[in-house]
Amino acid sequence: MTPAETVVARLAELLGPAAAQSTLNTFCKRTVGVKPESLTAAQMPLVLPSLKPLLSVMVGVAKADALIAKLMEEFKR
Amino acid sequence: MKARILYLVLPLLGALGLGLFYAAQGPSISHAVLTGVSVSAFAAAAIGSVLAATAFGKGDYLRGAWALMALCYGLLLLDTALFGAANGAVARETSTFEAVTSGSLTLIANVATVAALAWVARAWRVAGLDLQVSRGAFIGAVVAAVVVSLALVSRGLLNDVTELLGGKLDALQGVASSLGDVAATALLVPMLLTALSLRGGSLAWPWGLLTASTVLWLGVDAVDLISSATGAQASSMLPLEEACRFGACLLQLTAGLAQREAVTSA
Repeated sequence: MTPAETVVARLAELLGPAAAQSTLNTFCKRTVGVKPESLTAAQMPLVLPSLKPLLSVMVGVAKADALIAKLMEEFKR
Repeated sequence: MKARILYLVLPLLGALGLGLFYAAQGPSISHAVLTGVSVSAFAAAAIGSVLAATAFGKGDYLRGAWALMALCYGLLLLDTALFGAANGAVARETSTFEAVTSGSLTLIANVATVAALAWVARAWRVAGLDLQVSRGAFIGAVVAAVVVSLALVSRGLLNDVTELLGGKLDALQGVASSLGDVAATALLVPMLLTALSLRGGSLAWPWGLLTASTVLWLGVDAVDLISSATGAQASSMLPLEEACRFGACLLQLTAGLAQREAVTSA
């Protein structure tokens, strides 16, 4: 699994596959200026925090923080 | 997914069952039964809304929306518990004070629910979700929804406004309810589009179920139109009206449960 696929799979549980992919596309381009497929694990600390506003609206701030922290942890390994 | 489909199926089956029960009872159905069922339904909807609101933390965007929905159903529960069930077939016998109190409770409940639905319907924009629909199509769909809802409520609304202008204050409740439903229907489009854009995810369920609940509330208003179009007696429409109201409340309950489940499992 690529880093982008990992993030999409996790987001898709909440947002569904289409919205998860579209969200990642938007925030990848906005924060690191690349398409999700060329995203590296090293770029994740830049991309993942940008998802916080969206996730905070949908599931609340605490859950958004926990979700992002969990994903960050996965990419540190 | 399979278990979540019950969030939709069970309320619809419940509404169908209640409608069939009332149809079998005929005009002999007691007002106490109608009131008891309505109070239970509003209580269920209020509980679902509270469960959803408390799944969020203090200050979270959707917490306030669900709290307003809880307030709306709490006020409808209070109104029904105090003054009895109200529908097109059973007229309440109330004093002027009671009519004004009931109308005011319904008016505040409708303002609360419209504010709550506007809050929920705006979430996609605040979150930055892409609904993948052009602006023109979006506005066209909202206008179409409002036109349809105005067509559905127009007869009942005109009757209620005429009665209200004639000094019949208990018609205030019907006016408030119809106007609230028209406003809520305008909000159906963004809610439905959000649900569709989230399809396959756990968050699609609360939006989809809230949309279905709002559609059934519109069904309650449509009863007047169906009655006049078919020439049916108001009493014969009671099972349909009550089934729509009951289903709308149960869908509100399951929408709250689905919202809580999505948030707590995130």
